[in-house]
Amino acid sequence: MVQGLAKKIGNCLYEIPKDYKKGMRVPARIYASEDLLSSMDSAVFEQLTNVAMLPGIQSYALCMPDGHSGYGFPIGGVAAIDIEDGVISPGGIGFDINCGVRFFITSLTFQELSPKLNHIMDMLFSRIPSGVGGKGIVSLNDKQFDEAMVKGCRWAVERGYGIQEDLIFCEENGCIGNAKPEAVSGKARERGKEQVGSLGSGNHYLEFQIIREADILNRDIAEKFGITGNNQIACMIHCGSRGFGHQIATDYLDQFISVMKQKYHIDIPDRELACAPFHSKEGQAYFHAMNCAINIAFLNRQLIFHIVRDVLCQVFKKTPEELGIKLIYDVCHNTAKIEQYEINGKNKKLLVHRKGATRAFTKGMHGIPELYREIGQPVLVGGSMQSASYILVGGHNAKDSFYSTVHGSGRVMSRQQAKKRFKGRDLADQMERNGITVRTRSFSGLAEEAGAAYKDINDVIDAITQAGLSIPVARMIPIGSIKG
Amino acid sequence: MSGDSTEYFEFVEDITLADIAVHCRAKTIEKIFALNAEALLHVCLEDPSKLTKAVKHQFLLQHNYLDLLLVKFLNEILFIKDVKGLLLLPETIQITYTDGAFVCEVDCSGDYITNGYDINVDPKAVTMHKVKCEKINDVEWESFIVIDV
Repeated sequence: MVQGLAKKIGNCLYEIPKDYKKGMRVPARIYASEDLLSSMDSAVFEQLTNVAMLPGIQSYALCMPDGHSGYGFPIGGVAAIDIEDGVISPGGIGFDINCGVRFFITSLTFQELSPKLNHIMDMLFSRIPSGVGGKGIVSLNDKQFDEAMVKGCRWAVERGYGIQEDLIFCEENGCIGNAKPEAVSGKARERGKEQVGSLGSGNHYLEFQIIREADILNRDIAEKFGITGNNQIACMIHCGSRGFGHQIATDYLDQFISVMKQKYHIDIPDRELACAPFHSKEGQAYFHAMNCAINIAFLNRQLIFHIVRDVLCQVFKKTPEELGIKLIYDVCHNTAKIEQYEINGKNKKLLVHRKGATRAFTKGMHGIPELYREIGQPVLVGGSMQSASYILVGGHNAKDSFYSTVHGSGRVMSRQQAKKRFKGRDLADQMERNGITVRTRSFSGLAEEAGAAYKDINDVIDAITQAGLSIPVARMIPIGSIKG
Repeated sequence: MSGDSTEYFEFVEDITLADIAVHCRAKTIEKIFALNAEALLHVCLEDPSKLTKAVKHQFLLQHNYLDLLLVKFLNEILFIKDVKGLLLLPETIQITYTDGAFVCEVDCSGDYITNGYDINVDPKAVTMHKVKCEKINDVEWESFIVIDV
């Protein structure tokens, strides 16, 4: 077992030395408790040590406690790569580019929402497209889609699908730069423009949550976010760039495979780790296209958020202000972003690939909303549909992980195994009995997402806290889940 | 497992946790492609046998590598699902090798998702993770793919 080669070097931190495998440029580091480490599938370690071979990688190839095997990179993988002599790898970002989470709170209490929850869920289920072939809330023509790729959330706000304040509380203000539609293929455009404003399926969801008094874990920071406990109602939206991001990843992986070895003489043992020098023609084209997908994912979550806000206002016959609706933050889980770091005394611009990992900028850092400058950006961690989710901030060791932390629970059971073990309808009944209202387009899809198919989120949060990467602020308990 | 004992597809566990791995064996490369398309439909629909042949669709693809042609073929089916809302199964597939590239001509039939099918999950992409498509002896072909959901 490769796990055996990982040496414990700190609290919830293990290292595989760079002489483990020929070609590794840096060691691989895994943040995990002993139990979480032993629950990781062996492919995680093979993939992570392959990531350590990427040209330009700095310090370590990292894996978070929610890590599990993916394609090329493990999910939960982080690699910071020098843009001057390093590469960009679509496998380090994932197919669902800027899959992420948006989280908002309200001043509603559980007692106020509960009698209307079923009605609200029905309205949202009919207004927010989800599942196989779900078309989007808006239908865009070519020109509008080009604008949306560049403007992200701003495109929505300019058209009345949101307010200016929404932009403040998003990573990159909901609109990342260096997005160039000319780098996006006709196929990706065709696939993307019909899906803008849709939830999708798989592990994507819209979830109403309750924050109880006992779930406030750091009161000072929670209060600064506006989280009061007292059975407060919140909502989490988890989705990404849908088929658009997938098509971009597919297009460029194919391109990178054809040039990686022949043109750039890069030899990597896994085709899903295909890469090209960041400053090459192909590398830049993918970077520009990827940023378009980041913006479309921001827009996607913005449109869904707008519908949820509208439905709540309609049902309660109140304004968003009267309902205390406040967007806490929108975070990305699958991106590569240019960030500045000091490495061995030198200032370097690094392309930080985060695949199933969340940026966790700490207090005082640029790039986070003014309101959060003294506490750090919120980190939103979605649990399974049957378990809690968490809001965190960066911890004292956050810099060691290039300000990256966990993104979810991480799977421990395959979809096929879960489908054999659970029946979707039974699971829905069980969730209802446990106080979680469910709406789904697919009961077998629901079975694949059973809580038991995931690691215990509390173990993941505990490990990342002990490692000093994050500080838990509050825990949110699901009460209503819409699955695609 | 689906198909007879010599030509079949099966979903493989312990390869990927978040996604779905498919292994196929068949006597011809065309059958390998067809079985993979069938497996993809099983991922999408609760009861794939209910899919009607109401709509016809044709496409032609090429790639320098056979395994990547298989990935491209399956991704084309997913592309049509997203863009036209059509779920398709191939009726005839012809694969040739011309001028250094593998070419695949496909005639498909199927129906619109919105025509009352019970859906399962929405596969988003077929990946290159551990992809394999090769002749393993004189009479058998084998493939392996991972579907991202």
